[in-house]
Amino acid sequence: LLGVLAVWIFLFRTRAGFTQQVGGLAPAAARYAGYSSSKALWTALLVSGGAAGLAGALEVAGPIGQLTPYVPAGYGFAAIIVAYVGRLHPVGMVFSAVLMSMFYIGGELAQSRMGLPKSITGVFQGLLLFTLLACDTLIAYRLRWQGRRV
Amino acid sequence: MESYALLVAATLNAGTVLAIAAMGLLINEKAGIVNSGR
Repeated sequence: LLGVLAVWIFLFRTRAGFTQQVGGLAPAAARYAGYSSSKALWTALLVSGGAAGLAGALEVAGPIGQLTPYVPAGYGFAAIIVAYVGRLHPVGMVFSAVLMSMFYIGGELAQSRMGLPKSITGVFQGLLLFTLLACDTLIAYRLRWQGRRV
Repeated sequence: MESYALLVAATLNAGTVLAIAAMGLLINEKAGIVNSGR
């Protein structure tokens, strides 16, 4: 939760975070305003690399308990789903992370008790993401069916 | 009751890693390095 608070303050209450957002939304406007794009790029890369390293360290120190060459990968793809389900907001992402971890645990329980394959978790995660993106698209754009002209 | 406590503990355990990984993605997304559609 402290990490979430730190990211929220960084993004929405600091000049560096504002620079990041302007650079992401309108690069030309950021250049016109005199913001350094390379500085914003390096800041984002370093902060996100640190977050990824912290996540890996927590995974190794917690559930796995030892550093092995077979640390389970794939958290990056799950993080994409977490970020979009959380509507790209730090507070929303906390709730979506809890939801996604429930998917993982539910998948393991379904595997052990009902004999379902573990990949069913990935299917549900993919369905969640595609449904969400489809809703976003259908909210932003209206489908109009046109009859065939003869 | 103990099983619920274990469930909550496991959820928070797995969710923390996911949330931190997603924070990194959020900053990349806001900075425009990754642009996945929105």
